[in-house]
Amino acid sequence: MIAVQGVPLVDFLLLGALLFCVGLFAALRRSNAIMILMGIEVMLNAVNINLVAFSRYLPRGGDRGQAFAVFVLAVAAAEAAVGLAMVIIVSRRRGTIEIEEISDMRG
Amino acid sequence: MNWPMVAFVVLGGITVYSGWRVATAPLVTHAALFLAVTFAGVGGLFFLLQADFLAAVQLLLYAGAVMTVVIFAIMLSEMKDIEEPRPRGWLGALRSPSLGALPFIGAVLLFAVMLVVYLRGAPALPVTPLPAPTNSTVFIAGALFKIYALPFEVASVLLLAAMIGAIILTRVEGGRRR
Amino acid sequence: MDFGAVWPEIILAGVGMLLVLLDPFVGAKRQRALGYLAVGGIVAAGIATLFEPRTGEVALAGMVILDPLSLFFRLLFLSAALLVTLFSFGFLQERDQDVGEFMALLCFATTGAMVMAISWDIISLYVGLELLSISSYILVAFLRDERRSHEAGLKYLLNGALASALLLFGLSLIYGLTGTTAIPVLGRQLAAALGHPYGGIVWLAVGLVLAALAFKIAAAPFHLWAPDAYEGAPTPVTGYLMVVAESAGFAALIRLVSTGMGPLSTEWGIWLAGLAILTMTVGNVTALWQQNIKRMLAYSSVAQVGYILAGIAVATRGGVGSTLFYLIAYLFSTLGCFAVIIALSARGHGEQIADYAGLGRRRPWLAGLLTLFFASYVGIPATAGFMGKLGLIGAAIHGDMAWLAVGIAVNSAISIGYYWSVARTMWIDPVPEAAGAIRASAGGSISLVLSAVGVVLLGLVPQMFFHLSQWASAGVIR
Repeated sequence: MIAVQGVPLVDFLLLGALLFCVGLFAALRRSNAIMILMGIEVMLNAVNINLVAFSRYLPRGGDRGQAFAVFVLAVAAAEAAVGLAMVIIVSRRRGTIEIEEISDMRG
Repeated sequence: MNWPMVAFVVLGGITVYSGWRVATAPLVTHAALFLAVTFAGVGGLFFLLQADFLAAVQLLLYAGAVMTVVIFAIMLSEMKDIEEPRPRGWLGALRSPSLGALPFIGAVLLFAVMLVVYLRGAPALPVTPLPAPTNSTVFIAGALFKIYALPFEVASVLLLAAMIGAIILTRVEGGRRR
Repeated sequence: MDFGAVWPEIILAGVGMLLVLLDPFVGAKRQRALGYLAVGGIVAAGIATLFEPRTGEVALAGMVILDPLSLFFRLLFLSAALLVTLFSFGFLQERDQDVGEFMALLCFATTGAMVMAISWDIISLYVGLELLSISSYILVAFLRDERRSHEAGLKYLLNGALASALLLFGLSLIYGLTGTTAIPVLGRQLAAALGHPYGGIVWLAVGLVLAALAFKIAAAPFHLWAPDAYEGAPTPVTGYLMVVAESAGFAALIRLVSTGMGPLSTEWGIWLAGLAILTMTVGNVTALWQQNIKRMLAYSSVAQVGYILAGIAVATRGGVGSTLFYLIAYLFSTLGCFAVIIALSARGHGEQIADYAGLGRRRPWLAGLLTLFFASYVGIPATAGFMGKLGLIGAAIHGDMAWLAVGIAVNSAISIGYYWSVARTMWIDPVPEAAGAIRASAGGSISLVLSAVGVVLLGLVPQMFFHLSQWASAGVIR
């Protein structure tokens, strides 16, 4: 069994922060709806790294953090399902999922 | 040799690099593959953290189910413009087609703030983890069904609503009643 | 485990599931029955709410609290859902849309909003928020054949999911700092964490949570998604989002920030006050240029969010009380406006403001009521909005934020501009040549009358509602 002794909490937090910012960059940079959704999934994974790392290092309440991560997973899956359903219908009706190109509304 | 640290650096490096490729890969299929690697890397980090149950769920649910949905969406959406214009040079990847360099600057600023805050707090943060629970499934189940019974039920309604919604939205006959 | 504390939510979610189950077996002629079932479910949940305890009991292993605020928000959401159900039935029938599925999603969304409002724990608040959000994304895209509807749905979903991710990151840090997810102990623990070297993480977490909630309530500068989502959504859904989704965001702000982060209020109070001023100004100034009535109302709702935020920013009990009062006034004015717009949108009446020309002569009642709701938005005396703004201004002065009070007053003056231009179009411009017939559905008329009665009651005899909102805000600031 591998164990984590020897890696301080702050390293996990920094990794979570870096992954979160990378995901945010992906979500903001992309103009394609599927790719934006992928960026958001990366951000949610960063959240889970935070939660699980805290749950292992905190003196108390560790079970709460891991349960929180389970909820994040479930909700992310639901969000992905609805988001991708919407991507499919938009691409069927418009032939594109570039956010700029599907924008009719302005002002 | 600090083996956990080596494992952490390797797994973390893979995770962040593939996350970065999700942001910059020109082909949507490549981005999806790198997303799967990111998910797997995070699963590996959970193993390292001795959260076995979450690691297994991470692999099954993210690297399995969510990836399947993403790939289905890519295939079903029959995109003609599946490829973004290839960025010119390394700096080109930092620019957004619509927003220019703003997303990159924003993300870097946010990370800089986090970096400063975390590094200032580092000396006071715990260095060694607690002893791992003997059975992480029992550990989570206790919280999930004793404390978080209500959110658990609400989440089931949420999954139902999402399922109904996905069916309503993608139904082919176009919503007309009989 | 005793689930008695959440009977209203169980009833509403159960009715939603029943609607989905029955939908395939109900023929096109009997759709009305599904509408009645939804109305019945909402009323039953309302009655169950009245039987719930309201003394501040914490139930379900600390997940929910049954205090006056829970009662207030449950009734607020159920009233709004009832009005929306009433006027959406005719709307759906006209467009040949599936009533059962729409009503089911409406029930699920309202359940989520109610779970948020009664939450006493971060996780149940988050899951409730997501139930509301995901159901709303689907409702916005419900008219799949309309280009604007699915465009709005996709944009709303992408922005909403991004906001959720920010919120979650903030919440994960809060969990890390406190080791708990229970709202009542957060404040003390966060204040204690400030003394450590890692105190900066507290501000990072608070900032992320505030930004995410500002996204959800469409406060500037995080409001950019709102006009598109609100314009493209089916009109009843627009009304629902403006009232229920935004009020639920305020419920989350009150639970998580006013109560949960109470000890830090001197800091976030200033941030929220700045956000409030910015939001009301941006909303009002942008609304001046709008041609489409739904888009104009979208910006006007951004402005209203600014006013409502002011009550939370002052971080006093009176401030929260006037926020709650204003939420009731906002509910009736907004849903009234939308009942009129839906009555007019029957048979292809346009959504452009120019299409409202001569309405005063063709349908004086509808035009008159719309003018009344606008008057309430502006805050003309004897309407709900006037009493609401009076309360907010009073709370701002009381909380040593007189500049906030000045901001509300100046902004109300600016807002007269765009409401007046619609009123002038309706009452003074000539009737266009090809004006078709307009008829309101029975349900639409009922919700119209109820909203009008609400606006006038709140304006003329506000004492009862004022006491209600003060009573509901009692336990918020600890």
